[in-house]
Amino acid sequence: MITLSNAVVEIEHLKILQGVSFEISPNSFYCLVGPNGSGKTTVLKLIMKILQVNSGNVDTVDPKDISYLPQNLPDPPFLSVGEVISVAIKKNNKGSDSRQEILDALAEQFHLEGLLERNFSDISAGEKQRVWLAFAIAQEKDMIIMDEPLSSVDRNSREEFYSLLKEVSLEGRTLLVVTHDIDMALHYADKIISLQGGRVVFDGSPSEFVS
Amino acid sequence: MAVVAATFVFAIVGVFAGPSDLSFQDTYNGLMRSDDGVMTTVVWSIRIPRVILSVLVGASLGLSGVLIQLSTRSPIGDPNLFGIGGGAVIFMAAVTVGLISIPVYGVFLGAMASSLIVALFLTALSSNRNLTPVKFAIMGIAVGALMVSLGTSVISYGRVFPSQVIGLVAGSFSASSWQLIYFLTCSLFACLAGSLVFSSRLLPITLGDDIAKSLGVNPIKTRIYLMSIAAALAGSSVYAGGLIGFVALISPHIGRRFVGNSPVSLILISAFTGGLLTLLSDQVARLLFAPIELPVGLATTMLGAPLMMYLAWRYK
Repeated sequence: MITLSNAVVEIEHLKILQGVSFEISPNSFYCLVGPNGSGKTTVLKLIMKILQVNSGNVDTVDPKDISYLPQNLPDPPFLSVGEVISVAIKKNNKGSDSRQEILDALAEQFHLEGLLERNFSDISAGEKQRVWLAFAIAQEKDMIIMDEPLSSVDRNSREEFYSLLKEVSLEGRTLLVVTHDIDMALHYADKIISLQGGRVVFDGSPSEFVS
Repeated sequence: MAVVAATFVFAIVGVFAGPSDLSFQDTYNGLMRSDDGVMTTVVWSIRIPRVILSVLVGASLGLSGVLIQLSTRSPIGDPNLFGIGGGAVIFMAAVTVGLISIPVYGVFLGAMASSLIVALFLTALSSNRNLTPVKFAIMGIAVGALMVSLGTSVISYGRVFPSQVIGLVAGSFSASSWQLIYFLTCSLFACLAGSLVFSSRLLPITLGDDIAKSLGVNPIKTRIYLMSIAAALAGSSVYAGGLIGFVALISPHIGRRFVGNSPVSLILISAFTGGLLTLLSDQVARLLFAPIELPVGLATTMLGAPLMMYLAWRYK
């Protein structure tokens, strides 16, 4: 369980968050929505202990136990697509014979079959995001936090990946996904938290969000 | 395996070829110590130490290069390009001109310590969140140029022999000895052991600091450890052979083509490739215009620069 209570963050006299409170309870799919500059990424950084609150309180888990995908990740140099994903698998799976099977299964799930041998920096932006998504899922951690993970993926595949994330949450994992995609959030999330100007303006189920 | 085999083959060639006009039989006799004369001295005090030392220095550079490239995410990471070896050059220059007077092992440790200072400065830079690998490389090259010019200034101040100056800033194994081999063996194997201990952290930090943290790897601490090992390697290589360019830069790229990015294999192949390249370059430097020797750093650059251009051309 992750709890933010009245979290205030100021960066260079600019109030990014002005008293944000919400709770993330286990085994649910949360979408964090809101316009640019509303403080979504800052909230994630608080949870990951990258930033500290100026006042208020953040009760979170060890960042090591969270699979975190920040926005605009730099390309890892040297590595192939398969090698990038393998780094995540290696951390949790000691049996070396099954590693390749896990990699192949992930490749199939995220439509990366033909790309595993390619250099990561050579593939397209949408493909890179799919690799990172596979990377985040491969870590097999109970909590997954992602910052706009599908912004460069085309609309048709986005639908598919959201349903895949939904399945992941049904396996008993907790997801917190920052997105601009209200449609997807309404359709797939269990809970929606909406931020505006550094405050929570909505926190509830998709059906409540519509009304 | 091919790299290891090639190293042995060229090592043997290196022992048998040389500017002194010795026949194969003479060299063989020297090797077997069948006389106590010139051959034994040439083979055991000049050629064999030189071959071994060039491999050890090259291996140190190759290993140093792979550690710097992975920990700073920069494909052109090279201790001698980024001024880490340059720190040791300044120190060695000060020793050469007599500004510092300490025992031999003190000079060896001092060279490594001087490199460490530069490496930690660069590490502090690279841990700044806004510093991209490209900016880091540009700053590293600037630091490198600064270090070499400071080192050269110290030498000019001391008015030493030109051959010593060239040996230091362009590399030379003409002063090889068994004592140098002893020092280099110690530093190389200690650093190799250290690198293998940290090998599981190499790929996580290549993925960037945020991802590394969520994989349970502290990127800043890890980078400090890896860059310190890289500095010890660079400092010891400058101590033994002067500033030898491009070996550290290209060895990991060549090695990767054989074994991919599996960390332990990549560490080992980078060291072996570095050893082989330096051995080859030194033989070229020694024999091309024999009996006049070229600085080995010029030979590695002639070999390394075109290879680097090829890699850059292929790199997307």
